[in-house]
Amino acid sequence: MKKRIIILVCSALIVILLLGLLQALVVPKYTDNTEGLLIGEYYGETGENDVIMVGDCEVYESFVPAVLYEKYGITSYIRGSAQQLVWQSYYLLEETFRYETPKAVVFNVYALKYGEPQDEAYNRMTLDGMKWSGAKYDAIKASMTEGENMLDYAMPLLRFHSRITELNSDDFKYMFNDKKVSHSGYLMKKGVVPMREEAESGRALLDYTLPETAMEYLDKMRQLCEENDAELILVKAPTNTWGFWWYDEWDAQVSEYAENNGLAYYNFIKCRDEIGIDFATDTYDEGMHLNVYGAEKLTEYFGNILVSDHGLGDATHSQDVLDRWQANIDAYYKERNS
Amino acid sequence: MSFTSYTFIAFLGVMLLAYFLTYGKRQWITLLVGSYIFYAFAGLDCLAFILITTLSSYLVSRLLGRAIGRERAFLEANKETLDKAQRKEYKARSKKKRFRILLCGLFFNFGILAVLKYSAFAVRNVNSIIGLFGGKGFDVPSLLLPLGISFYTFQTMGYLIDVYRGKVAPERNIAKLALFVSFFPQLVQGPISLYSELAPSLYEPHKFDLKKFSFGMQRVIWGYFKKLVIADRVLIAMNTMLDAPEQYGGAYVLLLIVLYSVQIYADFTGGIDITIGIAESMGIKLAENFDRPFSSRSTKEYWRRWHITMGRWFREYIFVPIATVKPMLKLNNFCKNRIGVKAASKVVAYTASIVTWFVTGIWHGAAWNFIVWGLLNCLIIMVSESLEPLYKKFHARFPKLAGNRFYGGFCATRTFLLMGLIRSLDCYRNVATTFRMWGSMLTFRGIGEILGGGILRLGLDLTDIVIILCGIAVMYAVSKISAKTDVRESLYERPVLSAILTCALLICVIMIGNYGIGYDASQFIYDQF
Amino acid sequence: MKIAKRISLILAALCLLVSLIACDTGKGTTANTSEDTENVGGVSYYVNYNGTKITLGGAADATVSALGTPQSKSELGNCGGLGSQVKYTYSSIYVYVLETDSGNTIDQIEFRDDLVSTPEGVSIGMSKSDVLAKCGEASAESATSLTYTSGKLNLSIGFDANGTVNKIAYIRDGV
Repeated sequence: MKKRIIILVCSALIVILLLGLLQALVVPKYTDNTEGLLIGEYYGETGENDVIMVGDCEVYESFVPAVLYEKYGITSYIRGSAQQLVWQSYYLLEETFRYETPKAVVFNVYALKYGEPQDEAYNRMTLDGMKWSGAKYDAIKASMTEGENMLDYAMPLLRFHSRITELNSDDFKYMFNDKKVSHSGYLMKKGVVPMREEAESGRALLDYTLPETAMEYLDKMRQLCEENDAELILVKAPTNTWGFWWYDEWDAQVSEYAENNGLAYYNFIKCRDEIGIDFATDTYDEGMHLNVYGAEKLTEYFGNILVSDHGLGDATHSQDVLDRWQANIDAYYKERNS
Repeated sequence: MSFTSYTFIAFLGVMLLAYFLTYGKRQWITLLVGSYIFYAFAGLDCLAFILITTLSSYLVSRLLGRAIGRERAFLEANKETLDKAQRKEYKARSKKKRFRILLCGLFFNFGILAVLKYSAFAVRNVNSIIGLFGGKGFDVPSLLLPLGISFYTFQTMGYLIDVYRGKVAPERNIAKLALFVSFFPQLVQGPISLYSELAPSLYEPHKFDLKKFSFGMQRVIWGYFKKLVIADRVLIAMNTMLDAPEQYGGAYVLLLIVLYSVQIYADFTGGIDITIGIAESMGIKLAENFDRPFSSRSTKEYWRRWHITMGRWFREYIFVPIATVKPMLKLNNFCKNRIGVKAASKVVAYTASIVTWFVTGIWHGAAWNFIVWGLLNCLIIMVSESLEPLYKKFHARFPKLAGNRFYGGFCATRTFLLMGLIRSLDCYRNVATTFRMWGSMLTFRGIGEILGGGILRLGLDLTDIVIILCGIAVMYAVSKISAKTDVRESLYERPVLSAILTCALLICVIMIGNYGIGYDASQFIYDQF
Repeated sequence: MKIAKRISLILAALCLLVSLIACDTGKGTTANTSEDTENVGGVSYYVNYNGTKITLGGAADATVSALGTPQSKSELGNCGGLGSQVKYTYSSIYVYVLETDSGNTIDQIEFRDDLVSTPEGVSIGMSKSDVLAKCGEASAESATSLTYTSGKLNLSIGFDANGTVNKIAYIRDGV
């Protein structure tokens, strides 16, 4: 009997080990949709940042931390992912405050349009990258679409097991280490695909009120920043295409919220000319997102605001920080100019 | 709560733990509570129906028990005074009374089943008739269909009939009867147990037994393998063909017949393996439901090996009573004088068969395709029986054939295809479409297309097909070996090999099972009956 | 007989209980679940444009080809997981098409100018009272809009500060 129990225990351990290895093998490596790697890359960074930026693609495609540091000496990191919902940004921020104490938090407001969980694939891109914590649990709970369940997040093997029949060399190559794709959360796109025509408007909506849930999370984010002595700054990236339109009605609601709560809100759509954005050269997908050239222009413009209106950029950094950021800048320009 | 849901697996873990922790005289109460929690997941209103069946069956069985008790007491008390004729007369009177009580119970419970399951079907048919005369018809009712109602109603009514027949004593404890009705592993898709064989094992305490537990878990994993790795994968190709049946005529129909046979076998036997395995791990013995049905050489043999407990139920509680009911005996006497004893007995047997198969068909679902399926099975069995003398002559002429492996294989293949052909009525869910598709098989079109890669355009890729073929090979091998020896018992003597095989099977289920987002979470086929 | 009576009574009571529980599950087959496009509550959910009938929620392929070459055609990228949406711009209307595996559907129709009107005769530039006279009472009304709804189909009419129609859009819910 003793022998049988030993065999049973050993078998259980071997099964757990094998499943662990198989899990590492089958989880998506996001070598094509590199957005899926952004959230996880944060944990490999060291040192604190002056600014943390949260939001969807409009934040990780619009602001360049390397440029922000190079021009203004502001250290920053972008915790953004594709279609990152407001509550996901909130919980990411909650988690970030456990690691560091930024002076300012920048939130791109476009995601306020979503009041309900949207899409499992995007959830995965944001949530799978997070380290396990109460914040991750809450983020998953708030984000799950119909058919999803917590166990699939706790054991991604259960979700991605079917990939066992479609593995490629990247799955083995990045089994234990992810590919590095961003520059402090900024995902560089160098292509140029000009906008064909400026949209007059977005699709008409039945209701222009921003969802209550989204606004509640925005308010929670504000409280969280207050508790952590960080200033919350609201921004809207300058992109505005018919499919991803920022309606005047939404703008008015965010402006009102910002005013009522003493927050700064910058809608960069209104100052495209001032920034110098040219959608003939500064976008890689017909105006939906900025490319690196557009992002650099916006970052310079925004950096100036952060310095002049928010008192950032005057910190004297240690040699460690200087070295680290110089390396970041070098890596950034190496890719940019390659 | 589907067997393939995470919730069920978590529930099972907690249930097993609670069951062994509460070892003792009242251990069965844990099972009862667990079974009701399991059933509550299907909806609280469903729970009300199972409670009503339990309560009504308890009352009727107790009344039947009391009537039997009185009868026995009276006969015992008047042993000396009553002569044989008086005793017989008293027994007949008493039986009549009991029968009335039984009828109340049967009508009530089968009535619930009939109303919930068949009223929409009945109204639709009435509407079709009214429609022929230009009438508008009635609104089709949309009633709640409690989970496993066909299974638990049949099992419980079997119990009532057994009490009426004096085969089992009525259960005095309503909670114990409630457990018999609702025992969670078999609630959804059977097997349909007899009270006499399940109850003792269900109520007695069971200590944790490593051997039984591991045997049970091995069978559960094996069941999941059949269901998730094979059945649900085959289902993808089937669904492609069934979504546009007219596009997949000719040879595709034959392909569908073969695929559906594999699918239903893996699905249903997989589900039963999970059921029996769970019970076994708790030390409870459930009746086997399959005995390598696809190796049957005739339809009659097939039905002795496929869904055994259902066949037994229909034989015991439908066929036998019908064949022995008074009007049938009269019919027998009537025919005897005109067409002879042998033919008369056949008339009775065939009439009872037709009724039994009609009921079997409609039990599977409230639709004409099921009724036609049942009657076609009946027809084949009747024709085979009628041709029995011819077969005998043939075998007498070629005596070596009986032991010939190839001839055996030919007979088994013939039965497999014939049963598959009839079963396709269940696939197309429409009698006219099915007949049309059968007709299209005669055109033989599509053979080249299938062999030229058409099979890869049914939603399965090459890997899926390899997995299915390997799965079938494993199922076949296990079935072959288990015909000669108890596989798990032989492996028990080699614990390391047993552990390796179990772990490999578990990993296969997790890695290549068809489950989770991205797959259609397909319910076990027999859930719906 | 006494026993039978007793059972009958008990079973009758249980029957009553069953009849109470076996309530309708709300999936009555006589209910009309299709997306009605014509004359629901006095409003139609289609537009006649240059001799082509564009039906909200209807099949898009034939309609788009009947409408001829658009001024522009713009496809939405996959950012945001909204699926594949295509915007066709014609001189007086926008037509939005949702493309899915099961087919392409007219998802939204918007008016660009006053040269096109709804089947009821409502066009941009009219007054709110004209709209109410032509279409009747709306399903929902706010300071700046009237919305007529039937199932998933909506007709939204927007007004400027003077109460003049400045926006007309046929919109499908749930997309």
